[in-house]
Amino acid sequence: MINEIRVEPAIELINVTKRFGAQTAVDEITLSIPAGTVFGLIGPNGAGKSTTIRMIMGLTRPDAGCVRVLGMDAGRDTHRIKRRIGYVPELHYMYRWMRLGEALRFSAAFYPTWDRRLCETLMDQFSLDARKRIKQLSKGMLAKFALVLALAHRPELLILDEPTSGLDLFAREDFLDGVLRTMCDGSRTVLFSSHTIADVQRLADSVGIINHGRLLVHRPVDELLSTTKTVHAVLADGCLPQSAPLGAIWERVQRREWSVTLTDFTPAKLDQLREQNAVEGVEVADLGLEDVFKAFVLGSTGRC
Amino acid sequence: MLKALLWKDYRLNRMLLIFGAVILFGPYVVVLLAQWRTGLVNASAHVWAESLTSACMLSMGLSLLTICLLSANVFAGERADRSAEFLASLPASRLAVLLAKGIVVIGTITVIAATQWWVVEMLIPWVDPRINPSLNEPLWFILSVSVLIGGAGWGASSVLSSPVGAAGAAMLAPMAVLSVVAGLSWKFGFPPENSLATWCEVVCLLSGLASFVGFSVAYVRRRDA
Amino acid sequence: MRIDAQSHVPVYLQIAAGLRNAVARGVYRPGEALPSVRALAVELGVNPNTVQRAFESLEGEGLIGARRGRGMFVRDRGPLAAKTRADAALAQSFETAIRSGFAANLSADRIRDLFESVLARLTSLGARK
Repeated sequence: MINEIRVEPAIELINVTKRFGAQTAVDEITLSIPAGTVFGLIGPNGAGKSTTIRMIMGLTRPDAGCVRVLGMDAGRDTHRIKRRIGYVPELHYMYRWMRLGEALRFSAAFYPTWDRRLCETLMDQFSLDARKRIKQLSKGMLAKFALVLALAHRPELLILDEPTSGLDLFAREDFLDGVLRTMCDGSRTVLFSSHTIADVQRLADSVGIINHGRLLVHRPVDELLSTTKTVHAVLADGCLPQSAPLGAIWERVQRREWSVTLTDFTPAKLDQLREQNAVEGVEVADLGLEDVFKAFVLGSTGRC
Repeated sequence: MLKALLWKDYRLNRMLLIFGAVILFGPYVVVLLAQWRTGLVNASAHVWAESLTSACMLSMGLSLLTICLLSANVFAGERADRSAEFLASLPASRLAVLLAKGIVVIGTITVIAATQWWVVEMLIPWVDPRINPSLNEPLWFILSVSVLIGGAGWGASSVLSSPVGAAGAAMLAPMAVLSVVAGLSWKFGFPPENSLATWCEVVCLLSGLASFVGFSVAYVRRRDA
Repeated sequence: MRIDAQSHVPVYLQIAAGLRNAVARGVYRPGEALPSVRALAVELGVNPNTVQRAFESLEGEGLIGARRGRGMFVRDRGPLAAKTRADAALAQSFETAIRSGFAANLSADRIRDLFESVLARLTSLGARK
């Protein structure tokens, strides 16, 4: 689906740091998202996802580092960038007294590229009634309306901050279906953060795992899943693990079973593990994205 | 873009503006109705002039409330329900946002001031040419206080997240300013007592305008949303 | 075809397996066009790039081919290629099962006995049509 190769990435963060008082919300994150790809950002609550997204949107300024969006500096050219981005926040604060139609006409005034017909199509697709007031909408309808607002001006970059949190199954599928259809329509870039890791696994080209403000890993999804594996080994009686191979991000010993999650897995590492430790019976398990996520997060906090 | 913002700010404050219109014109309507009972044409000019004068005082005094509430709500209202965050995510220039709000607030103050001025300078003398223009001084005084209230409310609203707090600041501003001027006059003899009223008017007017301009500039130049 | 987004099997492999299965069973016959990348992506709820990868993988196996501007179609030898892969997939399943048997310290004879008994039971139940 990447029909053209743009030289500059859609989003670029270089050593970005943001502090709130004594707390470091975002800690020297460097990230580059190529245009036309779908990037999934996952992390526990409070990991720094929303802060990162707000800096990309120009709603917050970083304390250090540089944020570039669509080739422009996010701090200086906020206005021009916002015209080309569609943003769906986690919590919606649209004017509750407005009718949907009024809200659409209001937003249209700010975007030169607003497409009326696309807007109508989307409203139909989501079965939204333009005469209803925003305060009358259910959570699911509110999220879908926010998506209409974000998509109607045909943005090059779509940013979704936990867009499906609190939505029931049908609303969530409906919403993601809407996002997916626009993905197919052009070489758009999508960044979305989510707690539903299954959504990231099925929709994202690449994924970034963030915890305590640090970016733990940024890889294409398929590559991450195929190169990260958990090795389960039975320890010989009375023995403890001696050394784990390079790239071990999480390990645990339970009774006689020693489990290690390895990134960049190769058979050579497996042999190395066998040689350097007193183990009998070694099994290698493939991982889903949820398992990989857990391993990275637990490993980074030192928990088991 | 400005049109959309103007529409939005008008709709946001519509209740307040209607309330303001009622307060502004209500007293006059009451006067009209009262005279109607006793016979419109029969009433003497003197009675008319007196009733209009009372109505004008009431209207002027109460309209201060309108100005206070409107200017206090103009920024802080959107921060209280966080709809300001939605606005911040749109590519709206701060200048346009400011202008739309400014038009609503200053427009309202202008309408109020113009109405009162017309009644005092035009209507009442026309009704009863013999009457002493007894309302001139109070008129100018209240108008300058309303500029101060408007400016203080505007400024407070642009930095606070609570319209109530901003309204409080708007109310306190004239009290503070006037007590300072009066205090200075009493302690240091300047401003002199005979022209104290004029001095108060000038200070209120200037501080109100300064507040409008100063906080507006600060708002446009603010870096975080 | 259902995609398990929580599985450890990469999504594009799941899609490829599903399509291969469909071709083997005759859901799509030689010469027929497959759904477009977009249609399939929307139907399955997955990234279109993933569908593209699945298509490319099947094209490499010789199951399907691209028709100029008209998407993917099933090759004449598609069904055969699918069945061959089905054999390979079954062999892979056997390998996984046998490995876990070894890991559980079962002997080769025991494993063979188990296999025979399961096969016999399923056959008598009429699983083989």
